[in-house]
This record gives sequence, structure tokens and C-alpha cells, in this order.
Amino acid sequence: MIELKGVNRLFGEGGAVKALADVSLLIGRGERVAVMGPSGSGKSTLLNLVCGLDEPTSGAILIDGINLAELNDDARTRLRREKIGMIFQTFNLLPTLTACENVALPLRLQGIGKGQAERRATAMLERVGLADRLAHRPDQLSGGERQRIAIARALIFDPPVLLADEPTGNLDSQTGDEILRLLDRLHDELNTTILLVTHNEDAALFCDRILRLRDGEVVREEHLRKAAR
Amino acid sequence: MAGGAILSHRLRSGLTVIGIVIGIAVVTLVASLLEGAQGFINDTAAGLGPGIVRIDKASFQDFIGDAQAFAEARAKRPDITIDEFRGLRQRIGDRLEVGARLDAVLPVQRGNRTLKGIGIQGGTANLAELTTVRVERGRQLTDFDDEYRRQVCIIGKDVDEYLFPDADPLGRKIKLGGTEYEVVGVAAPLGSSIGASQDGFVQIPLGAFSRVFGSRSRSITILTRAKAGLAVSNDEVEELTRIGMRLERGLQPGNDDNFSVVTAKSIAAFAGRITAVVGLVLFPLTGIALVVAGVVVMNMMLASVSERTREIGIRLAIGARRSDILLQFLVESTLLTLTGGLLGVLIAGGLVWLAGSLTGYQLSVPLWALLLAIGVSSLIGTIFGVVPARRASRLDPIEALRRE
Repeated sequence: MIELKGVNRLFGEGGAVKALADVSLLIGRGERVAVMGPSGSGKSTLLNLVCGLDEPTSGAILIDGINLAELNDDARTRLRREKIGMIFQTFNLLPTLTACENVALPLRLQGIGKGQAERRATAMLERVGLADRLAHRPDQLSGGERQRIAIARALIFDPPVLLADEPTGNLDSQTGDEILRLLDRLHDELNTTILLVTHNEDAALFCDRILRLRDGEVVREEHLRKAAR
Repeated sequence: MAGGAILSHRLRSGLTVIGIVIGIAVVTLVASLLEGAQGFINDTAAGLGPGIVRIDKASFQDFIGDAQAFAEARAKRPDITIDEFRGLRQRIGDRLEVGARLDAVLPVQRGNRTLKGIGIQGGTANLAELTTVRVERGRQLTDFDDEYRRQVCIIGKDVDEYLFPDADPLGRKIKLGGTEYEVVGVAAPLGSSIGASQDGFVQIPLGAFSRVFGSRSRSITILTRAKAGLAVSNDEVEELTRIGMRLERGLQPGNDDNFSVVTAKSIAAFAGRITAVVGLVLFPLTGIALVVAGVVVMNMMLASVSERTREIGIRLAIGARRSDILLQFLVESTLLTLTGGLLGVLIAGGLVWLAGSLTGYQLSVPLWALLLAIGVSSLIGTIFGVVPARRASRLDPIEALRRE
């Protein structure tokens, strides 16, 4: 589902800073992979490259067999619209929109009418347990509720890939656990491929595999048994 | 979405479009008043009647923008005299109907009822053929009335209704100044021109007028038109009248006319020139004001882009194309200025209505001004929204998402 072949990403003048160095990776459909490492190890760069917001200096990234390097900006946006859901540590909800409108936004960007988009958003919010928060704006909700809305928004269009950047980083441990259980349930229902960037060992245990990055390189890969989770 | 962004910053949006509101309100207001003025002048032209030529000592339409020259002409030009009128009638009377009129304002009295500020018109008997006044009841003034300076009159509808609320005025007497006049005719209603009634007048024979008011110190107005049944074009009537008057005054070729020739056509042309002059001065000024207002809108939109960088990043991350962002900001700025424009039209409409109510003039916002206001305000939003919208659409989504 997600494949990286010898991906390098250099920053600065003359490529002085190596954010990712020769990373190769294959993640199958429905697999959950956690990416861990200290700050500056290249975790976020990896996510940005996979979702097509950034381009590698060299190497290839394939999503569902499609090489991102062969797509222009608009085509990469379309791919992201149709195949990749994203959730962030800071939720990144639009403050002026209601919960329902936030969740419906990706569908609206796909050109789906307001009525249909909001009906689907309502159903999705019911699945994440927020049927009674449809008309609330983000600042009227708790952190856990906001992240649930962000998850609903990421999965509203049934993307085969979900990229999560520290989804529990801004939540207390109990709420973080609830979010991970929600992701677990939705994964079982939708068979979504999940790439999870985290500092949190407990969150990583939710995955099938852990990649440990240091200075832009994959230094260790751990396969977890189901029982361990 | 764009509308939501504007509504979420109501105060800022409102302050931003004040310039547009004022600019559009001024343009619409001026357009409405110009249209009203044009209507008034056209009414005046219509009051002169088709094919009628008027000779005045000095008419303001010959002196647009030069009030001093107009004042000088009124002071220095010779008065048009009854002798000149008679001479002109002698010269061109075989082809043209030539009449004369003198005006004064006096109170009109009957018993204990008095009407003040009534226009007294001393006219020749053929005035009926040279003005739009028609007798509805009774009879016209005659040459006999004029020649023998008879104290008879024709009254307008307002005078009839006020002085004779319950009686037939025909054969009864009214007082002009200290002299009594017998009412021999009642004129058909002329209606109003820009809210002012045209029916408050009394016509008396020119001879009687001269006896009461004197004619030496007054300049008369001469009116001409083609005689019934003769094929003389309006231009020929104007030309014959002008040449006849020049001959009467002994003006040599190369000398300017020392009198004014007024026709319905010249009044309409005058109205057009006034509109053009006002438009030439006002519309560029308003244009500059609107450009300044547009720059304010652009500045606000740039601030908005900066403030909403993270929002733009989120949209780009979850699947908005750069063209979607561009369009969103363009729609936002256009909607903002369009709202300002509509508000401006509403304010102008209110002021026009108020002015109409206070003055009694028939004023309204013309459709073209409304459409122009909508078009111009939308255009300003679109043009001045381009730079902020392009900036928004070119943001790096990764950088934008990092922005607090």
C-alpha cells in the first residue's frame, strides 16, 4: 500500500541537513506501523513525504502503486483527497466551522453537495460517539472530542491510508487510550493502513510494527505480536 | 465558506468596506440627482412645447460654468422691447406665429382669500398657440382684449380651486395688486414638474400688463412657431427667428447675438452638457476614492491571509487544490465589496427617498446606477483580491501547518 524506495530528503544549502537518508519501506494494506524516534529524527518529514505535501530529494514513494513523483501538484492533491486521511497532534480543525462542517469538509472539497456531505458527516460522527456534538464549534469541545472529530474527518471518505502525527500527544493518558481504542475499532471495521508517528511507547504498542528512526535512518524495526498489544 | 469567514469577523469586515460603502453611495446618489435634474430640465423643455422658439435677453443655458458672464449679459444686453416684438412680427409674421410674454409675481385676491406668489403672465392673444396652456372652460384672450387693455384673465387650476372653492369663476372678478380682472377662462391642468405644481398662474392681456406694471424697465420674452398649415421645420423656425431678431437689432455679420435663443432641443443639449460636466468632475474623483477603498480591502485580505495561514495549510493538507484556495479568497473579497456596494446603494436610496420626500421632486435610483454599483463594487473586490488570493494559494502547506 505504501512503498518507499531509497528515499532521501535533504534540506539547506547544498543539502547540508539530511532529514531522511536512504529509507526503504513497504507497508501492506491494513497494516499498522508506528514510527518512533527522538525529535529531529525525520518522523514528520517521512509523513509529509508520504502524503505528498513534500517531495523527496531522491528515491521513489508509491501509494497504492502510484508513484508520487509522476504526479503534478493537482494530481497529488487529488490522490490525497481520495486515498489519504490525516490526523494531527493539534487536531487542526477549522475554528469557524461546526463539528459536522469540519467532518464534511473533505467531501465538500471533492465536490459533493452540502446536504449529502453533512448527512455522511453526521453518520461518521455517530460512529466516533459524537452524535450530540454536531453543531458545536471546536472551542466548545474537549481535546478528546476534537481529536475524535479530526479522526472522523480523516476517515469520512474511507481512505485506504491514514497518517497520524502524534494523535495522542496533546491528550491526557486516559483520553489518549480512548483515542487509540477508537482507532483500533475503526481499523478493524475499515481495514485502513495506518502510519503512526509517536513519541509514546504505549501508543506504538497499538501497531503491528515499530520503525525506530535516528538522524533520518531506520535504525531498528520491531514486529509486535498481536498478544503484546 | 467565504461568507462564513466574513461573518466571523463582522466588525473588521464592516470597517474594511466603509470606503466602498461611501464611494458607491456617493456615485449612486449623484447619479440619481443627475437623473432627477435631467428629468426636471426635460420637463422644462416639454413645457416650452415642440417646435417653439423663445427669445430671451439672456438664458443661463448659454453660460454653463460662467456665472459672471451670465450676470454681465443680464446687466449689459439691451432689454427686448415691445417695439422689437412688433418689428419682428412685421418681418416674419407671414410664416411664423409670433407672440410675447411678460412675467411678474403678485398675490391674487378674492374677497378675504389671498394666494401669494402667483405667476402673472401678460401675453399676446396668440399665447395659447405658443405655450402648453389650454383653456378648458370659458374662452381664450383675444387681440381685442390686448389692444383695448381689457382687464380680463385666464386662471390656472390652483387659483380656481383656492379662490373659487364653491363657485364658478367665469364672469367673477379677482384682484391683482390693486386692479380687478374678470375671469374669462380656466386653464386645463398642467400637472407638476418635479413635484412643483404648474397650475398656480394668471394670464392677462399684454396691454393690460404693460399698463399696470410698465414695460419700459422689463425685458419681454418673444415666442415663435410655424403658422398652422405651413411646412416650416423647427430648424427653420429657429433660424428665421434668430435672423429676424438680428435684423431688428441691426447686428452686422460677425457680431454675436445679444439675445438668447431657447428651444426644446437647446434645453435638452444643455441638460446633456450639465450631466457631462458633473460626470467629468465627479466620477474620476469617486473612482480614485474607490481605488483607495480597494487598496484597503487588499490590505485587509493580506492580513486575513496571514492570520489564517494555518487554516489554509489545513485545507491544503486535507485535499484543497491551490485553485480552490485562490477561488475562496477571491470570492471572499468580492463578496465583501459587493456587500459594501449594496449597502452603499441602500444608503443612497434612503437619501434619495428622503430628498424626494422633503422637496416633493420625483427622485429615484436609476436601474443603470444600481447595476453599475453592483458591477463596480464586485470588480473592485475581484481586482484587489487577486494579490492576497495568489499569496494564499502559494503558501507552503507544511510551513502553514506549523504556524501557530
